[in-house]
Amino acid sequence: MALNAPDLFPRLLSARTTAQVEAIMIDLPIISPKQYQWISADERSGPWQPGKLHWVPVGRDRGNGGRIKLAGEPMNPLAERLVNGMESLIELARLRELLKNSTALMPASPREAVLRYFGFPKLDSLERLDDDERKQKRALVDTVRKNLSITLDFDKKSKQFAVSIRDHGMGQAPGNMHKTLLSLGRTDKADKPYLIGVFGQGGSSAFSIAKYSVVVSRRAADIRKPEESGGAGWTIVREIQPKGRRDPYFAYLAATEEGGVPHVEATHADKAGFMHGAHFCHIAYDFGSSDSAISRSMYQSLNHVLFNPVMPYELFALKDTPEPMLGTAHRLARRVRMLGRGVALDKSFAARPVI
Amino acid sequence: MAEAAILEAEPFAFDELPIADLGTISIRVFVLPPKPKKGRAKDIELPLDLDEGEEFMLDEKGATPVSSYLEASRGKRSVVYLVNGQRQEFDDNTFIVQDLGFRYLRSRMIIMIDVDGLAQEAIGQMMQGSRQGFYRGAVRELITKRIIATLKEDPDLLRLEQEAEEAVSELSAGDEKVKQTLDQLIESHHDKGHSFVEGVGGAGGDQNGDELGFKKVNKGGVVTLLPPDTGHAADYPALTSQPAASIIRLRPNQPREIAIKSIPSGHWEAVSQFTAQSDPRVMELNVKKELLDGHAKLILTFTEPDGFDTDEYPVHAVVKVTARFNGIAEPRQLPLSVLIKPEAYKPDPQLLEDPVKIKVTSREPVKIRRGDTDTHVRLRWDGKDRLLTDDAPKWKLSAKLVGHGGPQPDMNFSDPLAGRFSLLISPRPEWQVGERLKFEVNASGPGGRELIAIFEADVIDPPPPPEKPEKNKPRLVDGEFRTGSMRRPPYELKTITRDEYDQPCWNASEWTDEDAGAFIKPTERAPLILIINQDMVALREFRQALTKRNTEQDVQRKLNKYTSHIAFHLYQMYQETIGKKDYDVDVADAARRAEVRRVAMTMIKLMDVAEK
Repeated sequence: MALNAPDLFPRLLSARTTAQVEAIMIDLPIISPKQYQWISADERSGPWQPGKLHWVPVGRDRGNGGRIKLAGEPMNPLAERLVNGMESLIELARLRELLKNSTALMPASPREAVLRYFGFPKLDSLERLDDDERKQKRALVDTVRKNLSITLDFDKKSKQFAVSIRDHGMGQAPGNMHKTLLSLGRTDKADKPYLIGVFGQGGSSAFSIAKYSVVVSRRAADIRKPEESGGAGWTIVREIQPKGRRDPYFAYLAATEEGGVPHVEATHADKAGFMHGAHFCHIAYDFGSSDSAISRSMYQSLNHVLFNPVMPYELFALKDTPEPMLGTAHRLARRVRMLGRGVALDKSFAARPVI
Repeated sequence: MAEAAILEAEPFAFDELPIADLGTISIRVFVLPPKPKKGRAKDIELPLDLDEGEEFMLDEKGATPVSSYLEASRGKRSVVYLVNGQRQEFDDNTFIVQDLGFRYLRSRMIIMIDVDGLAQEAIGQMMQGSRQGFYRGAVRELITKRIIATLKEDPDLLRLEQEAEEAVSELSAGDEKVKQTLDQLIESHHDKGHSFVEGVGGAGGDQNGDELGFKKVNKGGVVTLLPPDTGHAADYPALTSQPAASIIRLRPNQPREIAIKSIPSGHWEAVSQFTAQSDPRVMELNVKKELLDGHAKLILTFTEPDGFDTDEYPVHAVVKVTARFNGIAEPRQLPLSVLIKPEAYKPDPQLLEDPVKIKVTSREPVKIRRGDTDTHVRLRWDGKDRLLTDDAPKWKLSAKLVGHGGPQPDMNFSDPLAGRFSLLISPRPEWQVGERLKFEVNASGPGGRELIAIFEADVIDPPPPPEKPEKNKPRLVDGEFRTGSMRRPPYELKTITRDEYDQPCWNASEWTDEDAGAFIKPTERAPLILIINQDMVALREFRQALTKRNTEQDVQRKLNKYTSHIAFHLYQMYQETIGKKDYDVDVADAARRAEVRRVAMTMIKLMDVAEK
């Protein structure tokens, strides 16, 4: 299968098992780690072969194992991925704002950004609004949540779980993916107070829990620079355990020696309905258990990890209908409102000084 | 200039953080009601605004009321710390039990701490690249202190905790003969040199069963039953009440009868004077007394006046009952703690876009306790909540101490809920007990509008810790002092049956047929409570077997033996906990639950074998 085969992109987007990923890879011109591998920052085990795909360390850091294997439990990396998706949606709105008004002041916090760009307050405060206003804001929330989703799939034959996170945010141009989505600790968030993350590597820990991760991204057309490709970049991430060494690392398929990822043309992406944003699919994800209870516990766990998320999202847990995910704080506030005062308590203290 | 720029660009060293500028945290606490009794869960209707695809009934599933809101097993991570809405740190419900003191609410409570208001440097100091929790350093410690100061004395949480306690206090009292046996066991236990502590409240005993463990002491010219470390030794008679609960519950506008008796009962004939003094701070409480043969009858009535603000509930009062006995110099006194609250609260009031009033609903003078814990002063206004909570609120609240030369205390407000909110006052260390302070709360709105409420507060000492190991100190006692009853700590013995299983049992939210018993540690409000399950399945079967081959008296005697020994084992288990903190209260309670089951099964087996 050539890199520009018309069925490559849909197969990448729909891959949910290791067998499907391996079936894609077997047809691609991939140089085995036996022939090309990073020995250290400057040394390679073999020459780069133009026109072929090579395994390059995530973050272009041969010692990335320790920085990626940070997930103490399976839900945290997924929450980090969702947070990245929220940031991508906020940043898209911010870039669009700058297109209209290049001097617009940046929001002072993620919450302020969400209120400014999407029109709703903190999700846990929805239940304290009057009925009419609550319904109006809730309608906005329900529209926005469709832009970010997490989907759990289970393959009965292989007993493998796959978790996909899809955001319809700003996306990355193929030429930038290795500097952003596939980087480690390279972040421009610190001086953007309206973004959430700090260290720029939280989501990467999901790579360590999956056998393969398929990463796809496409820059939104209206914020794309003229020199950027309109196509969709893609890659596959896996762990590589070099023979005779005890320092495994995580690598992705790169098309250029500088680490640039392969991409499909805009027509292929359009045809697959992938207009902009990012798609991360973590395949053979290790939940520590393989029974269907994962689908139930995922609702509780994700709502608990993203207790009061900056933005809502949807969960498709082994079914076609979504669960609206607004966090446990919202669930509790709603429950207390339903039960009424005197029966249940919902009490808050804002801005308590820490002295 | 260049030098200044370099200094500005340098990050703070770890110990150079400007502690005074750490910023703020927001605290939100949720408490859900106990799980509905079995058979009632199906009656709960789905909410009309059920989300598409949402499994709302999930909320009702799980071992405890909050199980379906927690990530993992029961009680874990019920206190969460959020950065931008994402959980970055957590505590288990051990924090709720041991640091906040809400034992009954632990399976119903979730606390959310939002740290976004902290200075960026403070957040940076706590956050770790691994995202595996906050660094447990100075900033984390200060956050914990602020949470405890805010929530420990919260009146709503205290009310809910007391309501849960109330359910336990209304369980049936244990059999008198069982109490006698249990007292003998405790006596013998202490005679062999074991240590013990005192709690507060009533206890079992050989006179009446409700006052054991209290020493007769003379305090300020009257004799009353008090723990042994108070006052000087005195002699019987003393006064006691029936019911002998540590707190008398009273509903508004519903009279309640209380019997007052003497210990020993034969002394009642010698009563020459009898008074019952209502609490001067609670004018709505009326106390009628009637002297009868062998005892006196009190009728307590709290008459809710027109316009009474239900936010003032629960109302606490102390009724002092005093009697003089012929031939005895010092009068005998019995203070009765009365808790007044309605069965149900009134619906929320209609709130306005243009508020016109604000009022203090805590009873005045407000009591400000010295120490680290904040005092909550309840207030209400008739404005909509959003007028104060919007991102750009139209109204603002402020408070100040007036007519006082000293520095202002730290004061903050809780968020309003249906017009109700609290002013939190962090007491100043220089405030002295007995000092009366005056405060002014100001709500300022558009066009210079102002609403003002003024209240007075008295500074008092914080309560003593609820339990402390006894320390042996030199004490002056008279020769007739009965060391046996002196040393016996107070407790209440209760029994539970299937109909009452919807009570917390150790770490579970309800009892089962497999549970043998439980103890509940003494608190500021109640003594040690020992609870025996009368309907434990093995005990039921043993009882049936006994009935077939024994007389009724023999059956009762054997059951009493079982009950007193299980109660004694619970008592010893409680003693093991004194002065120790559980690392994980759920795990520790699960182990205790299993232990008392094993002991009960052994006891039943032994008695059964002996029978055969």
